[in-house]
Amino acid sequence: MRFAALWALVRRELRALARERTILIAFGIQLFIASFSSTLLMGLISIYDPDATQLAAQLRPRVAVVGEQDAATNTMVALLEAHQARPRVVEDEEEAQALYEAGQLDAAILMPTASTSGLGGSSVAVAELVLPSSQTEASLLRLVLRKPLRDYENVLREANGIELRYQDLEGVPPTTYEFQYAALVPLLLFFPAFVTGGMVIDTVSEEMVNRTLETLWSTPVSLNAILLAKMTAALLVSAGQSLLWMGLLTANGIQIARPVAVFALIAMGGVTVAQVAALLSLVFRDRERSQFVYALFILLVASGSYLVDASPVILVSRLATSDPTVGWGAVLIYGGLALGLGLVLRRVSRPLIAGS
Amino acid sequence: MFLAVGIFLPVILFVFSITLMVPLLYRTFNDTTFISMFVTVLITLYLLFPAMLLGVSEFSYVSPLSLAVEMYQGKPLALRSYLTAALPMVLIFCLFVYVGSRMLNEEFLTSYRPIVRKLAEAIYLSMDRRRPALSVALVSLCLVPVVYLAQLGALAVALNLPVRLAMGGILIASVVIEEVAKSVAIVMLLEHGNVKRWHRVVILSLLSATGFLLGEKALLFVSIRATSQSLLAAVMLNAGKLWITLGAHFVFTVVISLLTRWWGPKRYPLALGVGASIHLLYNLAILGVLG
Repeated sequence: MRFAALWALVRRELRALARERTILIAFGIQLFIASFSSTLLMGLISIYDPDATQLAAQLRPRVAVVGEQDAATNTMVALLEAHQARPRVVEDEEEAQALYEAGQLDAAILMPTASTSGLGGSSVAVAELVLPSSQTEASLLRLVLRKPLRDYENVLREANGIELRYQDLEGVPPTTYEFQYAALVPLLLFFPAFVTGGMVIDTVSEEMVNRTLETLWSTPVSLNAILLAKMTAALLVSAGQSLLWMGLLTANGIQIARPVAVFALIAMGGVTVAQVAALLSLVFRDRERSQFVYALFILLVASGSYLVDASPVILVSRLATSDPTVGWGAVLIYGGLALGLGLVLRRVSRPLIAGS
Repeated sequence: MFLAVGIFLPVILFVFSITLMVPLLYRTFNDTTFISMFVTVLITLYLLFPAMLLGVSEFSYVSPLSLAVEMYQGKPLALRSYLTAALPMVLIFCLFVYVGSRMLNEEFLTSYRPIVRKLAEAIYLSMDRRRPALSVALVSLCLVPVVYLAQLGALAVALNLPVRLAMGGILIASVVIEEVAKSVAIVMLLEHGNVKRWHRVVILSLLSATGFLLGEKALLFVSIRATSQSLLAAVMLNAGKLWITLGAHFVFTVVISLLTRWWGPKRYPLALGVGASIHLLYNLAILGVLG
């Protein structure tokens, strides 16, 4: 009986939403973000991992190898030449500095001195790479010089009898994976939940401003049932979107490892956000102020959550990548939070309305 | 200081005029949220995306932010690049303030209609009903940037689909968008009874097609000039082909308008379907897919 009334209210909300059609704009924007994420991905990666974009392929930097003419220096020179650099051996740092200032040098490698050299000895060898202070130039040079330096590392390892070649690993650079699971997945999955709160504020404050809430309340449904119906309708829409995104991500090769747990966590996040929105709209009573405070709340929570280890954004990433240290316990914590907030909302909704 | 004001004043006017549309079009609070979301995304894209290409392409001067960046770098400001950025924004401001002032009547603001109808009403209100011929041509002309924007959006979405499906989808979507833009003014005049005789409809269709073609070519010319390939511009504005294109545009629009007149405005989607199909066949023939 009570459920039937609730369901009727939910259907009423959904009908209104379908009639307005403007929700399609929200869907469109999400689709747009996702469409451009491949472009975005390329752009972002070129900023923090230019290696992935083959930017440095044509670069032939002039590098000074600072040290004495010995076996170690010759090995380094050979490795640099093998990797498109133009090396020259320089006696000391002052000379390299002079050459750099004369514009005949791009970077310098200070070779390990004889006393610390790893070749034949057992101590750790420390070579220093000196780069220009310009960030762009330095990162490009670092890209080109990384390979010969790693090769030199291998030479030293082999000389010490260690067989390890970590640069032989192949596949997509780890940053792509990082972007997909740390940014794209949480962004797309939580976006519908953020919109949910906005929708709840809109419908609740609209009924208060238009004075239709009193009429609705005079029917045999409680205020809490009305609020619950509004939140349920908005949550149904956002849950549908989240499910759709999970499907589309999977179809595009981004596997969500524990879909049920991920979905449950997002749903709990959505419930919490919807309840906060309902509370705000009851406190402020008009759309402008509630939406403003809600936007600030979302902004603070979303950005602040990166600081907390157990934040929902990070938990989604960890669940989606099947991190063994997180599980249903995390979901339960947020479920408890949502439940507690729900109990508070239930208690304060009537006093808040009566205050008007 | 004055330079900064000169650069940012068009931006302020642009943002103001676009956000002016939100309170004029909304019907419910949910609308407000979604429409302002759309407007914010649109403005951000328009301002930020071209500016990212600063130093890569001349296209970046579409956004005044590029000028601002150059100003802070201490570079001199070229009048041409300033006009490229400021003129479209000031034009959009003038257009939207004019449309906004025409929309500002009680019946329009308080009525609850589907959003598409509401947009159509807004177009009808912004026309001068005493000068239908001029109005129809101008509406078609002014809708050209909107058409390009919509087609770009369709392209972005379609690129997620498999290539064959995407190609078909874009061809159909762009044809429908173009035909709506060309016929909407005439259909609104028909619906409100401002135009009744069939030969008036034919003349208006011709004017609408001319206005649209003018806008299309002007935009093409500007965008090609921006990428500094003036030779290509000369080819695109080749006079002989222009008549064929104008004729084609006219035929599609007149089919839709006349069918709407005979079948009534309620059957407009059907008439649109017929006109768009002919346009699609014409496009396929030009692309060499047919015959």
